[in-house]
Amino acid sequence: MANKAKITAGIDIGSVATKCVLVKEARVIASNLGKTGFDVEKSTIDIFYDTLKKAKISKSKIGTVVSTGYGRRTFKEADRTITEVSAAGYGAYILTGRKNCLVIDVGGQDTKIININKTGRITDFLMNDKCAAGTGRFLELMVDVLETDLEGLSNLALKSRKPVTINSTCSVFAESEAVSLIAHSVKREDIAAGLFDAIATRINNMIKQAHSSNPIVFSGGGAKSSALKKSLERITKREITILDNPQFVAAYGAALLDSGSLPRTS
Amino acid sequence: MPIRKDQLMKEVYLKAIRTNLMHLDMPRISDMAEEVKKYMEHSPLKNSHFFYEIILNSNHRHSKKGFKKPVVGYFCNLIPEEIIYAAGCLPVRLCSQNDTYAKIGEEFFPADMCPVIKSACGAISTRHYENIDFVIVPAACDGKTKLAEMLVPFKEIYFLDLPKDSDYLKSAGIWTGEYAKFLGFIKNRYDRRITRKDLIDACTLTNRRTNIFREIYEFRALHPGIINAFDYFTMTSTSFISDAGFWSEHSEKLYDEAKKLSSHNHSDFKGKRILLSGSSIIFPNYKVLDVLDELGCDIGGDTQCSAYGRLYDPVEIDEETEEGILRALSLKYVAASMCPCFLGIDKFIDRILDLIETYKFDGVIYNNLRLCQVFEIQGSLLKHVLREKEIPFLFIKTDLGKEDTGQLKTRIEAFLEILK
Amino acid sequence: MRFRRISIVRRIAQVIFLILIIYGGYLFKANIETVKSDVSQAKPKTFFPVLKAPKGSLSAGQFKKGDILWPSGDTPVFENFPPSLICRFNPKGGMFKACIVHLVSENLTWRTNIKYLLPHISLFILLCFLLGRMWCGWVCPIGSMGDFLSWVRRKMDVPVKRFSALMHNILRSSSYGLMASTFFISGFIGIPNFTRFQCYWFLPYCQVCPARLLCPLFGFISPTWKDFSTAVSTMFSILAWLSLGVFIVAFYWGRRLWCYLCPIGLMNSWFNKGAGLELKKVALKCNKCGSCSDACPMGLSEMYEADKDTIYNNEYCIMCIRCVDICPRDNCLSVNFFGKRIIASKYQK
Repeated sequence: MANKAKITAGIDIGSVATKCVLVKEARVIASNLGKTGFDVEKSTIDIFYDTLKKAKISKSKIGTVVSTGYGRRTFKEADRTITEVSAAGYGAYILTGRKNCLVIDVGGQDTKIININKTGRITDFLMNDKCAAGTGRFLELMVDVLETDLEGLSNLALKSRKPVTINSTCSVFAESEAVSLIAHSVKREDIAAGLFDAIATRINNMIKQAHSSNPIVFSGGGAKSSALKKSLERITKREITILDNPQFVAAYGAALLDSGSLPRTS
Repeated sequence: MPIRKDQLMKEVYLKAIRTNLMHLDMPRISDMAEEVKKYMEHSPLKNSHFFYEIILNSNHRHSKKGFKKPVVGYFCNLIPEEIIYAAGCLPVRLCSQNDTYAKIGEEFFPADMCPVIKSACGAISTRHYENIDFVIVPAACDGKTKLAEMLVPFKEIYFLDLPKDSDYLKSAGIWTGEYAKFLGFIKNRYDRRITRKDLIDACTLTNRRTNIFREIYEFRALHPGIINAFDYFTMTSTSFISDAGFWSEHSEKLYDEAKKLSSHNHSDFKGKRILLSGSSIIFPNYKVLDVLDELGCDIGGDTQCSAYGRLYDPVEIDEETEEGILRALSLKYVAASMCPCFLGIDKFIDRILDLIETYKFDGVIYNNLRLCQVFEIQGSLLKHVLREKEIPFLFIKTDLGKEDTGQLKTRIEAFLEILK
Repeated sequence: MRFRRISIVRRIAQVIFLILIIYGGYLFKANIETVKSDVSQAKPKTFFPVLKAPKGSLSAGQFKKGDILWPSGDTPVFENFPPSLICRFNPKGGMFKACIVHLVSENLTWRTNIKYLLPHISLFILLCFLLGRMWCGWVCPIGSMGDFLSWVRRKMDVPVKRFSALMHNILRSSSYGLMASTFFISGFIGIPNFTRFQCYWFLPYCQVCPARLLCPLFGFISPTWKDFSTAVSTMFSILAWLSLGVFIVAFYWGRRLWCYLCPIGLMNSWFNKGAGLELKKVALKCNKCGSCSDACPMGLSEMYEADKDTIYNNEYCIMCIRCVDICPRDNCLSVNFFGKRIIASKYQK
């Protein structure tokens, strides 16, 4: 179609999954997701071109390609790189209708808390330090223990009335603790809920450091789990909104930041 | 001869500790030649090579036999170098941030400790510090206080006690008294007469260093991109181990060269200018500098105790009596100290706000060495103040090792994207 | 040692004023006969009206030579015009200028018509309003001589003694006492029934002032060291020695401790608040080194303590500006004249 409006591509190369979106006039016209795997360069190129194929758009029609995420510099087709903090933050800002918010982005190996003010400017951000206990990785360990998958784990947790408290701070030790709880015939749904509570507690510690009263929004792969949302709401005692297509928020934000100017002035 | 009437540790305990540590491997040298060469090539100024060469030679310098003056080691910025110069000795600051030495230090002292302390322990145990006559340890933070006992099996220690409240009105008398005791001690040890003139000459020597440093600091803040951060911190790191006159001479040459360079190509430096604060930066712990350089920033200013905090304040002698000179020295070192081990965070926060106001930096990055409690607390208090004043602030916590360079880069890059 | 720019100027000023004060009269030599004839013609040659000692009051003849500075033997000296007030007078009567305490004290006794005093007093008030207590730091001969004593101490490597606020307050209260008693006595002996006491009690403060004993020495004249002729004069002699002793001790060990006691300083100090000259601190630039407080000869520490931008016009401050001179931080302390900055602290190499 001969359409004058520019199409921009945002590609979020995470440690676990790579997400790609095509955006025209601030609307997502196509999105795609794939595993990052070992060969980051190859898999990201494949996923990018796959997205173009699905949307039936040729590369020539794409204006700017912006990459973000931990592997952003490996993507050679990118015209611009931007950190996932700015990308997720701006994406959340636009998705909330340009309102101030506190973004919780739970990814595969990292969790970010980003505070956005009403002009879309990031005033503060926190990232988990040296330890992946509050991230998606934790959940991946647990699905094996409870012999289910991510969705199953979520469903189990939602059924629980009495979540157990997991004491270990470390994911590896927490796994051992869960195994021992199963051996003591603790109900699987209570263990599952306890695990989500453990993640939520880590995340809450970071939220408290942000000192922000902005409404909380949830993005990233971890936001797909409504059980995690429930745990978070219970532990933070605040209302949490899950953004639409939470896993694509950072890629969306990256695509919108094609012109190179982030909101800077207050 | 005993340093104090009551030695820091009983002879029988010292023996026990030494015996226990005898099983250590042969002391390893930390070879920094590769890194020195890397930064030397990176520098646009020829006169910076002098400073890099000092670092290359420093491993061998102190163990050179026949080095004519006695070498006196010390820690922190609280010891009056002028007294040591006046006594005809060479003062050498032993604070180091060398990962190799830190790993050696971990072998015989706790690992969950300030990296500077570990590095110092590791370094002193190597034979390259044999030439040091004795070491002065001030009662600064807890780590430094206990460092006196950790080092006493290796070297003779003089402990300088200081009160925690660095309020001049309360404590100036105590500081002067401590410095007077130290003066008496060093006179006795080297059997020398130290006259007022000797002291005043030594003050003139260190003030020469202050003069050139202030010019360089201002120059760097106003003309970014000419004296890069590596050269700057190498200069300040070498001021630890080189004679003040020598150092000043070469710094003046470097400054002249930088001025010429700046007038020839009016560099339009487009990157961000950052104020770097927090724990000191000493060669070779340049990880943060590497990341900032890669991201195109210039460190326009700093408040590190290894750079600004050490060299910016002069000795202002009001009275030329001996007591007056000692008092003036204590005002320079202790009263004006921004070290968080003392009470008095106002000085530090004032300094940050003043530097930002004067030089209009884009943001503040506070670099905290992991496990340093006092700096971390200071950083969090600073964060609250800067947040209220809407000055961009980033707190990073890191170690001497290079494993977390990637994480650091992401955080700093995200911070730079936020800056106006 | 590095020379500091403001302190050099101040020392030079102190020396010049000391010379002017002590020997300046030579410049304005005039003959008593000329003055008398001027007075009789009611056409004074000089600007200020003649102040005449009233009939029956104490006159010069009863003072001994060298009591108040009298540089040359017979030729009377007419001091003249300002900077301000000079502790000398012509004992034979006639026009004179005197230090403010002397002026007030003498004319309280003589009950001089206020219109003759107005020029002197207005000048005093004007200068104090403009410059605050700058007289004490830059002009006062007692201060200059005392600073010399301090220099001697430094050369002898004797450390300075820093006094507490309690001592300062005690001295301050004593100075109020001194001033009050001086003026009371002066006023009292002017009452017609009590004029017979004038020969003992005239100029009570001046009789004990250390300048009386020290300044004549510059003219190689010996002042009246002791007078045991009457009980009152014995008392004044002893008090004068005591005063000299306090002067020496205070200046030698305490830098400007005397200035807390001095009644001249007291009268000047009333004008510090609201004066044109004032000190200002920009708190953000301060590094809390305390050098300003150390350098202060009056031992004041308010400059150091101030943690927000302050205008400083403490009544004890003698405007010596050593604090601004020594401060190592550019533009932290400054001297302002009616709000306009004159000079600011700057690191000098």
